[in-house]
Amino acid sequence: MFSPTRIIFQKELREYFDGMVSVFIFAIYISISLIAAFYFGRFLQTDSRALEAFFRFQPEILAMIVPAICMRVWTDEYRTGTAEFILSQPVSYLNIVLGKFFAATVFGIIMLLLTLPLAVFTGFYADVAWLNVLSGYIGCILLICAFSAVSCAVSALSERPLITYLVSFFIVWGLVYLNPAPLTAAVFGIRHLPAESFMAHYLNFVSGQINLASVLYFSVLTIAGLWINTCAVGSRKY
Amino acid sequence: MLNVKELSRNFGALKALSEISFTAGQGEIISILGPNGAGKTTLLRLLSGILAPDKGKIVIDGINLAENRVGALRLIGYIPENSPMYDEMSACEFIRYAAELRGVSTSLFRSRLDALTFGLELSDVLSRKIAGLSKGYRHRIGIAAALIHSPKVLIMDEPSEGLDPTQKHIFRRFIKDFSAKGIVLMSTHILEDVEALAGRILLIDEGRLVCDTTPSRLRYQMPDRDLFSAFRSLTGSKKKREM
Repeated sequence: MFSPTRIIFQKELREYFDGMVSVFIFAIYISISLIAAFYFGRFLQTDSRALEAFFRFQPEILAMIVPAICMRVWTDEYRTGTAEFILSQPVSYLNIVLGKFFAATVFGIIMLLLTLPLAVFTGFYADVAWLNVLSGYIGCILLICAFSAVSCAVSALSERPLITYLVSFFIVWGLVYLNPAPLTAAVFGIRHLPAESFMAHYLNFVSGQINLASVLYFSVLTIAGLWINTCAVGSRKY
Repeated sequence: MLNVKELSRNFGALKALSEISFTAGQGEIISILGPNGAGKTTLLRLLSGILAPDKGKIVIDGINLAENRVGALRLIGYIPENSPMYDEMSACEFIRYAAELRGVSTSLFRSRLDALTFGLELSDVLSRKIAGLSKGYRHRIGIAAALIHSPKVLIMDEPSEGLDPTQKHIFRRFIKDFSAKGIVLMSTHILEDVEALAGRILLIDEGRLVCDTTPSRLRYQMPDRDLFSAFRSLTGSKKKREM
């Protein structure tokens, strides 16, 4: 089942590193992350043992960058007509969706890992809580998974990269700042959703707590995005 | 063996295809003819699994496309209109990508690539980027990618559009050779291609199959023994009604 996914993943990941776009995205991400950590987060003035000043702004920063990584995932296939090529291959829709999603996610994780030198340099002059830092990175990886899944799904619904970026950006920001639990409880009477907001789940990781509820929260978001993506590709009218 | 039964597809209120049925066997080259908007491309997209029908079924060698999409698509090679492909890849990389997606082993890929590049005269451009190639070469690369897994059915949408006479010659010769081993379905409105290649014509108008016959029979139905006259008299019924 995973062989076609691997083939599509390799091809898509190679495409991300074709040309200078990847360097441009990496440069923007690292610059914004450092400005946020040092200027807004007062990295040097606060206790930086767990790099909290860095991790605190990652949801907002990744909400800007991940939709840009994913905006061409499907729109380019539709615009150039290659969607007809890929969808006529003996490969299930889910395999294609997973291949593209993994490529976008791995690209995002590589981008995130480029910030590791910040932790290493901090380790030279402070006593870094490495387990907390690891937990923070796991939180960021789960954020990238969820944001990539949502952005890829939006990409499958449009032929225009800019529209895809803007819609993904607003959805992802909505996820970060709006807690759907009270709304769904009021409108649909669903009272068993986790009451904690997106940000609260993420901050659990930043404070060094990897709890199952938070992992499940981001996993459910990711799976929902992938499911919508698969349905969108399968039911598209050409 | 390809068996298409009562295939229908709507796009909202528009009936793109209405109860199309036909069967095809090995060795047949079938030309799907019809005016613009008749439903030719929709039919080919349904046959190649890109679209799902609202009604009806497609069975290829006993495999129902709706029940086993991946299994049925292993038996099909599809070349969309204008042969869309990834411009940043080289010709060889694109054909290899198609082969890998269809599970062709490395050793089989090598031998099939050699045969296809020889037959389609592609050896000069294999290592070149697709972005810099002419339409004729792109088209032949599309054929090679569609045939790399030795499908039983080759489906082509407007295959000879924009090809020069030499490229058309190479294309026609190759399709005739392939048809000995499989079924060829091609949509076109170039009657010259139909006369040169097709052993059978499916004439579609407004989503309906209006005629399933051979080119010679169709020609002899007309007083001037001409395919063009037959095409004109059997299609465009909506326009005629409006007039």
